Amino acid sequence: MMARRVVVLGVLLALVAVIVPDAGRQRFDASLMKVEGVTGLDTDPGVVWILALGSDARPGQSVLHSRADTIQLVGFNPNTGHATVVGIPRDSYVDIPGYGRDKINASMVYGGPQLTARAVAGMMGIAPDYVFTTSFWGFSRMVWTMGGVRVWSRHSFAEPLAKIRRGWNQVDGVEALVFVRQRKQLPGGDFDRSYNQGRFLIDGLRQALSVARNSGGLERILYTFMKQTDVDIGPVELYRLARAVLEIQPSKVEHCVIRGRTGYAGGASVVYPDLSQAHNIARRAGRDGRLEGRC
Amino acid sequence: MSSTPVATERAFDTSGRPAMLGRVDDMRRRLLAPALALALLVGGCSGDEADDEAAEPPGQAGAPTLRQHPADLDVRIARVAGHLPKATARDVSQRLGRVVATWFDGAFLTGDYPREHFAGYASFTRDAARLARRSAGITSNVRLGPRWVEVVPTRRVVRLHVFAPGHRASGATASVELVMVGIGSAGDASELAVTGDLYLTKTDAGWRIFGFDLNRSVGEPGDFAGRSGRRDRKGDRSDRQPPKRPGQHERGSR
Repeated sequence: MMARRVVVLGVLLALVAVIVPDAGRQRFDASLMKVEGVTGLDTDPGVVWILALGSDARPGQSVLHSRADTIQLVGFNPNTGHATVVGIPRDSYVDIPGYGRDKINASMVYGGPQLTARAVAGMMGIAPDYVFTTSFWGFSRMVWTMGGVRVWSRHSFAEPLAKIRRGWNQVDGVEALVFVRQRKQLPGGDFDRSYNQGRFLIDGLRQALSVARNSGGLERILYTFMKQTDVDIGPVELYRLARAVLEIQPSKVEHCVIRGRTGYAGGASVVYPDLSQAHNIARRAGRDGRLEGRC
Repeated sequence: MSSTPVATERAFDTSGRPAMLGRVDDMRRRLLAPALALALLVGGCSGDEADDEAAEPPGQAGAPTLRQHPADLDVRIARVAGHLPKATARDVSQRLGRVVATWFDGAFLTGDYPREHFAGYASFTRDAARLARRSAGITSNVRLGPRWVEVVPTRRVVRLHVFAPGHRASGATASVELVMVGIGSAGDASELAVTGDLYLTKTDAGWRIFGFDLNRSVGEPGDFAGRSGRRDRKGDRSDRQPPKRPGQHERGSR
C-alpha cells in the first residue's frame, strides 16, 4: 500500500520510451525545473503550463541532453479544475531558437529542456511555466511505485514484453513503457503514439490524485518525488504547485494531438505540424484550461 | 429538520503561480435538540462568572450565558514527510498552531457578541484572505454572529502533515476541527462545527495559510462536540468529521 502512495505526482508528468537501464552517470532519472525567460502568447495567468518530456537517454548518456521522444504540454486552471493535454509529435519540424529548423526532439540535445520549452513556446504560442523531464528508467520506476496504472488503449498490439488490448489495461512499469513507446503497430504512427502518451498521462493522473488527496498523501508523495528528481525549484514553490495540480478534475481533462503532414527534410522523415491548430488550441486553453471538446 | 444548499468555492491566486486555493463546503443543519444540550447551558444572568468567556457582553444584561469551559487548543504533528529534529518539530508545531489559532480566534471566538463584522485572516496570504472574505459565511462566524450573545469553543483540534525535505519544514496540511457552542439572546443554543484542511507554506512573513478546504455544520449543542469529545491521538481524520445525516446537507460546486 505504501508503494502506491509514492512518487505518483511524477507520473502525472512523466512519459517515456523503451526499457533501458539507468543512465549511469546521471544522479537523477528525472528533473523538474522552472522555465526562465521563455516567451510566447500572453495567456490568462490563471492557467499553469507544464511541459512533460521523456528523454530517450541510453546508459551513459545525459538524460537532460538526449532527444525528447515524448513531448506533452499540460495546461490546467486550478480555479476550475479544467486541464488540457496537448501531444506534440516528436518529429515535428519546427524552429529551434538559435539552431534553425529541425525536429523538435533534437532541441533537447542542443540546449536541454529549457531549449525544448522555448521551441514548444514558438510552435504553440504558449510558454510553459515548468518543464519536467524523466528517463526511461525514471518513468518505469514511477509506474512501479504506483503499483501500476490502469490505462485505456484505442488499439491492440503485442510486443514481447507486453500485450495491450483495446480498452482498459492494467500495466506495470515495463508494460507502461511499451505502451507509450509503441508506434509501428499503430495505424496513425507517431500521432497515435503521442495520443497514447497523453492518454497515459490522464489515466495516471486520475490514479495519482486519488492517492494524493488522502490525508497526508501529498506530503509523502512530494517527499519521495524530491528524492528521485532533480528539482530546481524551491520546496515551497513545489508544494504550492502540487497543491494546484490536485485541483485538476480528471473528468475535466481534454486531450489533443497536434496534427500535421509527413514529409522529408534533409533526407529525414519529419512532421510538418499544423501550426494554426497549435495556436488555436493554445489560445483557447490559455483562457481557462479548457477546449470545450474541439481539437 | 431542514437543509440549506451548499456554496462550494474553489479559487486560486492567479498571479502566474498557484498561490492558494479554497474550497468551502457549507453544511448547515438544524437538528432536533438533544437533551444533553441543556447540560451545556445555564439560562439567566451569569452575574459574577469569573471566566472571561462567560463575561456579559456589553448591552446584554440579563442575557443567558454559557458555563462550558473552553477547550484547549490541541495541536499535534500527525506525520512528517521527511525528517525534522525533535526540537524543530516542536517549534514547527507551535508556529503552525499559532497560525491556525489566529484564524480560530479572529474569525470565530474572540471579540464581543453579537456582532456582524469578523476579521481573522491575518494569518492568511493576501490573496487567500481575499478568497476567505468572499466565503466569509463559512470561514468566519458572520452568519451566526448577529444572533449569538456568547460563544465558547468545545473542541479545537489541529493535526499537521508536514512536508520537510532537507530537514526543513516547507509546507503543511493542517486538518482542523473547531467546534463551538453559541447562545442567542433568547436563550436558544446552537453548535457550530468548522472542519477541513488548511494549506500552509512559509513566506517572507512566516508561515501563512495559502489555501483551504473547509466544511461548516450547524446543529444543536452536543451534536459535534459530544461525539468528538474523545481526543484524537493519532490524527485520524475519520474521527474528526461531524456526524453525517443523509439528506441534511448538500454539496455543490461552481
